Amino acid sequence: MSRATPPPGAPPGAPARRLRPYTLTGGRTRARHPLNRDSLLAARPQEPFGDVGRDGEQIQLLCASPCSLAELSGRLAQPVQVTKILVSDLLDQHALVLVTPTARSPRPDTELLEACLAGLRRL
Amino acid sequence: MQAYAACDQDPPRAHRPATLKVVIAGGFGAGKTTLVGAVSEIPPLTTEEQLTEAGQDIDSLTGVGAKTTTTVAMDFGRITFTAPTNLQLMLFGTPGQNRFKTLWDDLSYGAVGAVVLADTRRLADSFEAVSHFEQRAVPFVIAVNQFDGSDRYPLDEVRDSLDLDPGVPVVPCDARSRQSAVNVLIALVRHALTTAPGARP
Repeated sequence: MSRATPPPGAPPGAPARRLRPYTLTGGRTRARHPLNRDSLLAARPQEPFGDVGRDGEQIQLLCASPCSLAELSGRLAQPVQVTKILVSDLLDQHALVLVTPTARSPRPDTELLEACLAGLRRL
Repeated sequence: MQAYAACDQDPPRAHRPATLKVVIAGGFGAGKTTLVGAVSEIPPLTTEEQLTEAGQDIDSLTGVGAKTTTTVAMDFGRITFTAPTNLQLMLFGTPGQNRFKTLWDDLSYGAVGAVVLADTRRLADSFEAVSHFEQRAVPFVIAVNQFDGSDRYPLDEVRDSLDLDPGVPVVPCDARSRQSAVNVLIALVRHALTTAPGARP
């Protein structure tokens, strides 16, 4: 974990959390939901849900606008696999929504590529 | 799968951003983090994950190849477009070695394609990524990072050294410059469009 990003709010150069990553997941190593690094997640603040824990609250805050699993992993300084399990739990609790499903075809849609090209040209 | 049922209801469809991703592969010190940072709207993040690799050696006693777990660090950045479409373009900077090919396969599924960042001082570092994306028919461009003090290689020489297909774009790049990084991405998206199945010539 020594190369992980320090937790948000930590002073620059602070070491990443030393906790063993899978402690946070109760030893589980697989997520129940099909999540990818580019899955976008959004919080559902209007819904009643149970105790989501400290990491859960932080994930909800980060997902105030749609946030990818990869970005969550970087901001939480947790490995991608651990983040998937934490997110999966929040999906079960309806505290999060999966905004974009996982890619189902090997190449993206031409219209989407054209939209991306137009967006890049405006930068 | 209640999450999927929820996915159909909220947030409203119009507010759901579409996503695209780009893989950026390059050898150590080729400028991946710099390139991601130059164009990303957030400071680049480091994400870590554990990969299981098949061992190189076969244990002669058991006949079972040893598996080892390595941690790989990737750079992550993003650009959000609101017009003409609500779209989040994600950038994944990955190591340039072949031993991470499962990661490349995973990331390039559904991706726009790949940017292979080449350092002319160590052009051989790009060979593995080039062969990988070539074999998998993943659209890719070569971005030749022009370091201070490095020889300004003519781009044709880079093309010859890497034995590239004539259709593969080779673009000069200053990984520190936002506009230069944007130009590399534009070259990739254009290339992906021309090689897309059913593309208009």
